[in-house]
This record gives sequence, C-alpha cells and structure tokens, in this order.
Amino acid sequence: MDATIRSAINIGGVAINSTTTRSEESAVTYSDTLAAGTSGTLSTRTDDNTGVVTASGHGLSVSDTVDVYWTGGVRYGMNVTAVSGDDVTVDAGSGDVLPAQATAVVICEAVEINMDFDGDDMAMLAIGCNKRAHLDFQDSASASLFAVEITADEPYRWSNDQEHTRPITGNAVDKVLISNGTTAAGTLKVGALLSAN
Amino acid sequence: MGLLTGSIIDTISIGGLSITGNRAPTGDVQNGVQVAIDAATSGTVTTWTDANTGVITASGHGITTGDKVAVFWTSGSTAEKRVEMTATVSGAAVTVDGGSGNDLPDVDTVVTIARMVQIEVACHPAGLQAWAMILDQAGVAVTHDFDGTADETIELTADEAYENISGMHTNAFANTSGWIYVATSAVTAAVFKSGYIGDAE
Repeated sequence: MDATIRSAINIGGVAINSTTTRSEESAVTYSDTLAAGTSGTLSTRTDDNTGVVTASGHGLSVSDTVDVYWTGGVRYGMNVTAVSGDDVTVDAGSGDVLPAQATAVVICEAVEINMDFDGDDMAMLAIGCNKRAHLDFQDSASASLFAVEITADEPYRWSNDQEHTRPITGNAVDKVLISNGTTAAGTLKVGALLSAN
Repeated sequence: MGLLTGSIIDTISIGGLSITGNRAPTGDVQNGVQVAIDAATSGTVTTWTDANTGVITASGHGITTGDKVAVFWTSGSTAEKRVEMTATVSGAAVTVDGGSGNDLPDVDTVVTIARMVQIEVACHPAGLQAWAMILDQAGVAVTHDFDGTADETIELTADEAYENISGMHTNAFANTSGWIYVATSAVTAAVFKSGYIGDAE
C-alpha cells in the first residue's frame, strides 16, 4: 500500500516540487464531521488551569472533557467540574495556560474516537481539517502520546526517514480526543501508514 | 507579520483518504537559491589511515586540493557517509581528512566522492517561518553559521523536500545559517533548491 505526500512549494521565488512516497502493509484512517465548538468568554480566571467559561448553548455536562481555544492558544483535556446554566467551570488539562479573564474563547467537548495503532510502526502520518482543531493521541491508560493543534486547511504530515522526530512512540495509540476550535462544524481526516510488525 | 508570502500546497493520499491544504507562510525576509551540484565520482578506498583519514582513488574526480568533500558508501543495507572532509589531490588519488559522520570504511570499499558546493544563504532560526530544500538526487546538506561552524547535517532523499515549517516542525536550527554545503552521492549532476521565509531578527 502506497501513501504519498505531494508538496508544491514556492518560497523566495524558487519552485520546489516534492513527492514523498512510502509503501507499507496497512493504513488506519479516520474521516468524519467534527462537531462545532461554542463561543464564550473566560468570565473567571482562577489560575493558569482553572476558570469559568460562560458560553450560551454549550451543551456540556459535569465530567466532560473539553478543550478551550482562544486567539494564540489552546488548553486541552480540561475537566468540567461544574455547570451552572451558561457557566462551565473547567480545571486541569495541558497546553497553554489560560488567557486573561474576559478573553473570548471557544469551548468544545473533546470527543473520543477509536484508533488503534503503534506509532513505532508508522511510516507516514497525516492529519487535515478544514477548521482549527486539536487532537490528543492517547494510550489505553489515557496518557497523552502526541498532542497537536491543526490550523484550518494546513495539514500536519510526517514521514519516516526525513530528519524529523517520530511524533508517536512507545505505547500504542488506543484513542484520539478531538475537538473543534471554531463555531462551525468541520471535517477531520487522519491517516497513518503502518508497517507490519 | 511580514509582507512577503510563500506558498506550500499539499496533496496527500493515505489509506484511501485525500487530504489537501495550502499554507501561506509570511515574513519580512526570504531567499531562494537554485544551484547545480557536481556529480559524485565512483572510487575505492585505497588507503585507510584512521577513522577520518584515508586515500580514495577515483579517476576523473574533478576535486582540487582544499575542497570540502563528502564520501558515500553502503555498509550492509545502510547508506553511510562522511561529510566536510578536506581534500588533498594527487592525480586520481584524493587524500581525505577530518569531517564528520560515519567512520571511513575499510580498504577496497567502493565509494562515491563528491565536492561539496558552498551556497550562500541567510536563514535566521528565531524568525523561521518555513524553509524547504530539495535535491533531485540523493545527497546531503550541511548548514553553517556565519562563523563557519557546522550546524545541521541534513540527509536528502532524491526529490523529497526537507522542510522546517513553523507550527509543524521543531526548529532544527540553532544558529543563523550563512552557508550550506551540498553534495550528491549520485554519479549524475544534481540541482539543489532552497527557499526560506521568515522574520528578521
């Protein structure tokens, strides 16, 4: 099975056309609609990883896992510890520290999708979304293996033997938590090309 | 945000999925180069003095004393190389010394040897938005800061761009790159291209 990344690059007046092809035994893929997030405001900032997001129509419940986006940052894997009407108390998580109080944010439930593969077997990984998005690849113990923010229409891509560090190593991927950093639904695609081991 | 813009258009096919995208990195400085790279010459290690010193005999090599050269060979199934060795020439015999990379192989090992072409660039790591380089034959690029100190050695697969894109890759460059030394391991002349865009420091 072949996977190919073709890049047409034009920088500094130089046209660079690159084709990266890898051939391996299998691939795992995901492609589906990515539900929209909800716009709101960080109405209380308790500390770097605790606060209250006020967001009308959020649809969240206590114990949900959410990602909070703002211009220039995202904090992911936060726990919803309380919900009172439009107010959602969020805590913990990883990523950027919460922004200043009153900052406009988008809050989105991090939805778990089932993807099972061993990052050590990857020959290629590609992630694309037409909206700002965040993915957290986790092992079966819910430990993060690789977290990545995707800019709309700017795919993440990695191929082996190209000088860049393998993004997922160690324990096998068991699931991916995905979220949308905008208030419009998007389409998320993930593909991993794998060698047989 | 600078006024200069590049473009990176991706078309990805993986496991039946099609993923497309279009980046537009911006900056206030950019540079592009397109340079012919000498073909490598086939030869043999005729003297092995130590791990980084020896003589390679290669008819028609075109190398002159003082050139930086790269030596390529295969050990088992692994491609190996030693780069930035200093050459001293006597006819077909090229004495090579110093450099970095794998230890020179044994006497009688078949190698290719190539002059490394010095290419001037100006790429600032702190402001890097995107840097792409490509060689149409297999080879190697070594970046140097303005003081001449080697920074990164980048192995280049034919027609596969090496990219360092802000937001996707860890910035590999510690120092401002003033020059790149490039060589191909192929016995066919090659073309090297590099495009950098970033913010001035």
